[in-house]
Amino acid sequence: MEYLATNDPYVLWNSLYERYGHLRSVILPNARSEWKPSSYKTLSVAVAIIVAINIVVAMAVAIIKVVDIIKIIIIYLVQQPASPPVSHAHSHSLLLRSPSYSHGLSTSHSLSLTAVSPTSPSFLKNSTSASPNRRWLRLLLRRFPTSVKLRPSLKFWLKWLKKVIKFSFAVVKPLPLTSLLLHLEMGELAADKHVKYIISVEKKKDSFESVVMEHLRLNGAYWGLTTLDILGKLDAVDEEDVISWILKCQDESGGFAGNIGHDPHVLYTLSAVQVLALFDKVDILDADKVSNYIVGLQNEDGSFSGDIWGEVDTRFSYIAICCLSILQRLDKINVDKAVEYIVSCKNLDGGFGCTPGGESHAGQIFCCVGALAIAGALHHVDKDLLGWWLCERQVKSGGLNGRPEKLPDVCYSWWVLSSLIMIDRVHWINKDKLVKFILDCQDMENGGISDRPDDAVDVFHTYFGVAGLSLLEYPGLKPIDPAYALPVDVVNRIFFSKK
Amino acid sequence: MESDEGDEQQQEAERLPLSQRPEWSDVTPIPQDDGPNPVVPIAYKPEFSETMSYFRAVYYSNERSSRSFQLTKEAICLNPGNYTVWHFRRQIIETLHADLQDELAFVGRIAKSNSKNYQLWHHRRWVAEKLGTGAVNKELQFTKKMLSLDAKNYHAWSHRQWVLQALGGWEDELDYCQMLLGEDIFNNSAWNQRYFVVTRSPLLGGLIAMRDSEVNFTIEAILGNPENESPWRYLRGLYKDDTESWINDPRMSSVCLKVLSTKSNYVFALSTLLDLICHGFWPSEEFREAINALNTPDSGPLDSDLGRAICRVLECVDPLRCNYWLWRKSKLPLTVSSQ
Repeated sequence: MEYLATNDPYVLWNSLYERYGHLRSVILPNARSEWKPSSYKTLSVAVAIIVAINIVVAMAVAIIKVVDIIKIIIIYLVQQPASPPVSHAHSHSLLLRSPSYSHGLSTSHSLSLTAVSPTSPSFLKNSTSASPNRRWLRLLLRRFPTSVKLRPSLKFWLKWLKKVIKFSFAVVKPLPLTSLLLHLEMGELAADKHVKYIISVEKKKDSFESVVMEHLRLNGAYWGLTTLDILGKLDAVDEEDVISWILKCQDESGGFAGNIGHDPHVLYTLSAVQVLALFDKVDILDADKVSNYIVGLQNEDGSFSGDIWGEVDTRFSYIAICCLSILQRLDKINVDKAVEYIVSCKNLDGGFGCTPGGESHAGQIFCCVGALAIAGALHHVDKDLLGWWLCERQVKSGGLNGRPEKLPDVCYSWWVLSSLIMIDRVHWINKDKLVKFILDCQDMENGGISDRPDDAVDVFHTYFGVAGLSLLEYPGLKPIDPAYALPVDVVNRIFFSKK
Repeated sequence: MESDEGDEQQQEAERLPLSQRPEWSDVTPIPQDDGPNPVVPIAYKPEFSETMSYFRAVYYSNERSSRSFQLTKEAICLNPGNYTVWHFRRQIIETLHADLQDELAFVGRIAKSNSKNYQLWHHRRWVAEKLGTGAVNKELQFTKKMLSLDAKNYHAWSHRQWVLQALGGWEDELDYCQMLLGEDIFNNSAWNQRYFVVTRSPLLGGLIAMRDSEVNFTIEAILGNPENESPWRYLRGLYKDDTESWINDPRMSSVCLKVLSTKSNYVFALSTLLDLICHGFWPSEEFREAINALNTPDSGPLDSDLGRAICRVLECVDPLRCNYWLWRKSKLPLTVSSQ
């Protein structure tokens, strides 16, 4: 997925046609083959569940019937034997009274005994005339009438089973049910809990998070607010408060600091611009002032420094390109040189490091691929090779790691996933298992998501978990743009609204 | 200048609040201004807020003295992620011409508990850059110590690569990689560093000169642990931009064959063989036999095309990535058969 930035309609047409061709010949057949196995699996799971339920119900009904039989026997045995038999009940009562009958009842299937309805006039007459002091038994029988047919034979069971299977398939046919079962199988996203967690971070005085978050609160605001927007709850915060605080973080150089009274750095500049974009307030900034700050940080070789102290990292290349793109000032930097530097960080496995020669790392790869996507230079990426390296990040548990032989972590479910989406290779990982891994990392009681199941939660991993689920098209979440790391409607608003 | 003796943690335990220290009596601390309704309200420990209040006072007044230098040290120990404190410390160092060797020692002391802190590593690099080539041995020693604690620490490796390129010290690097790989052959960072050294060291003669010995070493590593992803990729990287030599080197296909014959951990062997075939390698009959021997019962009758056969086996043994193998199968050149 590349951002097409061209004015020539002929070029645009050809690029779109090529992209359509790729979607039709590669993505569609793969999506189809991906759907089949999982749909058969869910269908069989659904059928199995429904058949099992029906069998249990049938057995319960059969048990009730057996209990009824025992009740009838007790009643008749308890009754006075002097009651004169009436015409149609004659043979029944004779059989019932025979002691050998009562013992053999549970094992005998060949008895053509039809349970006597307690409301049949003859029976009532019998009992009233025979035992006036057994009224409670009469009432009991009236409360639990036995049904007419009582024949637990093999034929009966086979017929019942046939009905059950037919019914199950009829119910299972419509797909919404199977996807519902799939989600029941997987677990659920506790969206409300996560919203609560983000809004009210606990005021624990000795909380590690509270101590270290102070200088990067702007990053924390971005993580928290973007998560709220994806969950559709951005209105839970006071927009005015947030924006006025962000503006206080701006330095006279044009860049933003992590908090009031700190030094500016590109990391926080990007977060500031992104949060303002969430509220559609990017235009309150002096775009030229902010972009000049970033432009001043580009070095001769095309790389970017984080701030005046000169640390160089491809993370900052991504930040610069993304931020300037949102401000629509990308032409102010030397884009070709910036791209050249990023390409120099490409490794033999197709991945990217922080500097030339640096080990390929999923986080750095996201930054480089994202920067190239925004700059319209994805042709420099060997998509097949990198796609394979990225899909090899998936481990048995379904989670993704950041480098070979390392542990899976929820934050990589964003970095690896968004990279795969940007190079059109996301179908190479097993999406279902990844969803399950992310959902397992939730704290279902207090809200929030951790890096691994059963670890402590934090806002950073909550954001990456929810964003990852959004990329995996988990229901109920707003779609997120993999390159800009902002909801798609926010990105569209920036580029396609009034100009 | 301040000479930091003693354990940082011990100093914290004996810490006297700043308001009670005589040298700070003339300074009014500036409390944190979170605004009337903070967005993400944060609770603070009392000593933390006191230290930061005093820091803000000297930072806003731009006081670059020895007491503010000491204060930055305390603030860093409380919250090493606070980049503004590090900035100010650098400004003080420049103004007071502080002892840079002492500074390296300070960073070294707090590095163990902050091994993944970006600010710490950048600060170290800044100091080392100022010291120049004289700092080479110390820096290599420092990164070696950090890597002995965590052999895959990305910051440590990044710093080490910078030291080698900016300050030199390539002599023992290949041996160091060898040692690390001896301790853990699965260490991807060490493999990456090995490639870095082989391709960029001014003392070794370049990739092509080193290729032969490196291939032998890598093959040995593969045969020891065929499920290890790193040496397979390294092997491919040794023939970067030289596909002809790669498919013509008999060792490439023979290592695949050896691993396949063991019938265990052969996923990477299969994918490498697939890559060779796709680039024009002609597999002999023994490869077909080896693949046949692997044939799992549920994959059905084996394909006459060896490439397709390999893809089918991979779909079975690596189901997590079955879509990738399906795609590889669809991309195979049409007629590839054994000789």
